[in-house]
Amino acid sequence: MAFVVDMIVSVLAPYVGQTQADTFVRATALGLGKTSDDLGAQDMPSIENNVRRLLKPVAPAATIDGIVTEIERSIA
Amino acid sequence: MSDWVSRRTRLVALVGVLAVMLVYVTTLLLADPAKTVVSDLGEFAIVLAAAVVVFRTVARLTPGEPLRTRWMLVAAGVGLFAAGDAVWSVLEVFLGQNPFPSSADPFYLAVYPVLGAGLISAALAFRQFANVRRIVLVTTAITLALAAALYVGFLHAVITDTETTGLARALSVAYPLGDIFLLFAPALFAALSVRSLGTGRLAVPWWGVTLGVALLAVTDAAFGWLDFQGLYSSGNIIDIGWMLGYLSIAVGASLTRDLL
Repeated sequence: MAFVVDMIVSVLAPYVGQTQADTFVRATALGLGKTSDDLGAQDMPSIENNVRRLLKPVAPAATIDGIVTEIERSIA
Repeated sequence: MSDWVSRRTRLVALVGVLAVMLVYVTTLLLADPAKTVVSDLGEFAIVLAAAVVVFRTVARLTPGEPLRTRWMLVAAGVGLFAAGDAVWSVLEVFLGQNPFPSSADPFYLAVYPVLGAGLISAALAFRQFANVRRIVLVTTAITLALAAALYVGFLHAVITDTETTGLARALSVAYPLGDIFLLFAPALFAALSVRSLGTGRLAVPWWGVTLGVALLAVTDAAFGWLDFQGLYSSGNIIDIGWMLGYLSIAVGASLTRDLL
């Protein structure tokens, strides 16, 4: 499932930088009791919640919606 | 980065820089009173245009979202400076007066808490990405060092100057203190907080704002010193600092609009 991680990072990195995108994926996986490589499409609700929580203070709502949609599409 | 920067943002930057250059070069070629007219009205026009760009960004953000509140504070700060410039232009250009203190001072002074609050709010928004404790320590250390240097180099002479009136002296102290504590320190705090996102698209607009505000603080401090020494008049090269500072903030606002 490493491709899921790569997809999430590739969508997030242009907005928050590579380091923060990597950290986000690791933290999300850790929160689910998994490793980054174990994240899958079934974890999308948690990933979406975390993306919204992370970006809400710093990004326009429309941009966050776009990012979530892009992640959903890329790992579907 | 350049692939997502809109044509509008490039235009704001390009036209802004050209306008600043035009105003400055024109003031070099003219003598008073025409020089003062171009300097005052040129700066007013540029800051007003910057305020329009920032307010348009605010209008594009959804009411109630945190980012909108932050940009609202920045827009209000730029708008207040434009209002101060408008009042100052009326006094100097149309009434031929050059008073200190003047009725423009309340507007200029109001810029400090409003713009400072916008920057602190932005810095706190990025706290989840950064080590806030370390950033606060670094910001505090640099700010106190600058404040000490300012006191030794400038403020002490202002405070002990017996030739100026109480209100003029209070304002002469308030401006540099505002520059250090309400503009420079929040700008540094925000820049260090945003730094963790590097050149990510969510960080870049705030690079524009922090750079602009830092430029305003430095320009204000230079103005305070020159004015105290009796070396400042409208059209001085430091006027460029205010214009470029507000232009940088406008570019930051336009980059935020590019996210939508």
